[in-house]
Amino acid sequence: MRARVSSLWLPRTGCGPAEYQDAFCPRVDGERSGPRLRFALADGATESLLSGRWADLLVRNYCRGPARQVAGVLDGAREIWNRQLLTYPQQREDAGRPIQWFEERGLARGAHATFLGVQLSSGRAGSRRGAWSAVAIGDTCLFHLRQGRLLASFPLDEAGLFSSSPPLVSSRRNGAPDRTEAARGDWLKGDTFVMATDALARWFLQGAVAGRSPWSELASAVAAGPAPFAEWVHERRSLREMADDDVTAVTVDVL
Amino acid sequence: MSYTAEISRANPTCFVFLIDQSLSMSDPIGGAAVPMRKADAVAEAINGFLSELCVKCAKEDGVRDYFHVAVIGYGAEVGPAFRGGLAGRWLVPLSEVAAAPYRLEERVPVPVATMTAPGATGLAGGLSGQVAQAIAERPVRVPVWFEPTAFGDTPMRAALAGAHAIVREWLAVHPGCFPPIVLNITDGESTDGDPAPIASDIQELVSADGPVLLFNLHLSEDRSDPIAFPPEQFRLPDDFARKLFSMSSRLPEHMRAMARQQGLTLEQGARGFVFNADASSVVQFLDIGTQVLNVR
Repeated sequence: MRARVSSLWLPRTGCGPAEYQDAFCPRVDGERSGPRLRFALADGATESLLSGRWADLLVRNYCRGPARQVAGVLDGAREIWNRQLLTYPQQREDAGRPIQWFEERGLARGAHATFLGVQLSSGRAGSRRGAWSAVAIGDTCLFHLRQGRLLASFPLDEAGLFSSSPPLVSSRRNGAPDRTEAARGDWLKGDTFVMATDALARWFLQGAVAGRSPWSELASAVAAGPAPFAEWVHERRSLREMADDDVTAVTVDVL
Repeated sequence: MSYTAEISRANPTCFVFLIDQSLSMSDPIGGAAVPMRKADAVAEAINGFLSELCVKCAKEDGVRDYFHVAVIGYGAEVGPAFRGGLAGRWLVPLSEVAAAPYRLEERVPVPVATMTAPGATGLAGGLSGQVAQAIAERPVRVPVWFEPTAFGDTPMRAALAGAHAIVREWLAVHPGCFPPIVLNITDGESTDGDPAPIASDIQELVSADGPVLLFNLHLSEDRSDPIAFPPEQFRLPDDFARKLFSMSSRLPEHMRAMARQQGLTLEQGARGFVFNADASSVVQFLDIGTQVLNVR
């Protein structure tokens, strides 16, 4: 199967690219082909330390590692994270920026992020259809679109379901199971999948309820490229239609 | 809707703590696990609160100035209560608070039930769990900015006037901020006149996101049950309690939601007021009374 992926992102107002805490994979736009394609998007939690890096590790581990079940992906990421954390204090010392008292507790508490992983699998040879499956922890959302219609919205399907404390994947295994949700369906050639972090996803679902076609508006904004997309997001924020948060849209067109 | 403004470095808000440092604060507080003076319990709660706020606002590049903080003591005198490098400073950006504790005490954290839950399987239950455990058990440095003090009278009116001046000046520069929150912790009646008019002046200050919030906590040494966040029609025991109640703002909905999460059932119209507070209700008061939404 073949798909084209393109990603657009923007940090919250007043923040630079280094402060952007969403993460997505693959990082490079373009065509992908293979019997099974994976895409992922995660949103690092504002209140935890190193959460952008943790989000990045999660999406890379899902897309680039062996095609494991999500539990294995998350535990594998924790294993890598904990090893990296052992050498982190020395790295900071070497960089002339030793760890401060206020970071010690944050590092011990772990990093946190939402996670959304999507897998598209080929159908039979020559077939125009195949299967998709998705796993999610938290409020990073997947929208499945076909010919201008919204077929699926996962894991949230109402704007009112977003909260300030969504389920998160912790870098620490704290005994509580990950609150993983799963969904699956079929794709047809020409379908589009949009993955979005919470501010954009909420705007999208609010628009859908209001009877607008937010996917058309979003598709135009995405197709216009980074600068017009940023302008479009700024406008939504200034009109208070969209929360001022990191925004990421990953669009996957099935070819 | 009020109390929904996003808090960011571009649009920060402020907390002003007023701490009674009168002589009677050297009396023991009720409800402490080990005997403790009221002044000690308050100092521990304020230091703990500031420490937690710094941790929550910490990023790889340092502590972000989502908040500015003032701690004003009132007893023998009225003035800023920070010690060390921040001595004499009224309102301080959080990054500067984080950078200049008076001292750091090294403590080994209390072990927590952690990573290797019984029956845990997979990588995280093995070596990774041990590694994470080792990280969690590293000694941590605990900051102290504010020392317990108990000497003199209770000039609450002057302390509230100080808070009023700080907040008014803040709002002139930050008119769109999440409304500043003033938290007054006392164990007795004002000795410099009626504090109600200046309390009312504070509550009349507004940002574009709503009126400034003033919350009051009364500390007790007796064993009476604390009265936490009472509603309008609640029958309070005496005039002093009714005075402090009348000086306290209603809790916004998001703070009541937070209180519900902590197992408190608060009625509509509940005020940010605690009477006969013991050691644990000081911590709870700070926790609920400084709750904000939308920190970006």
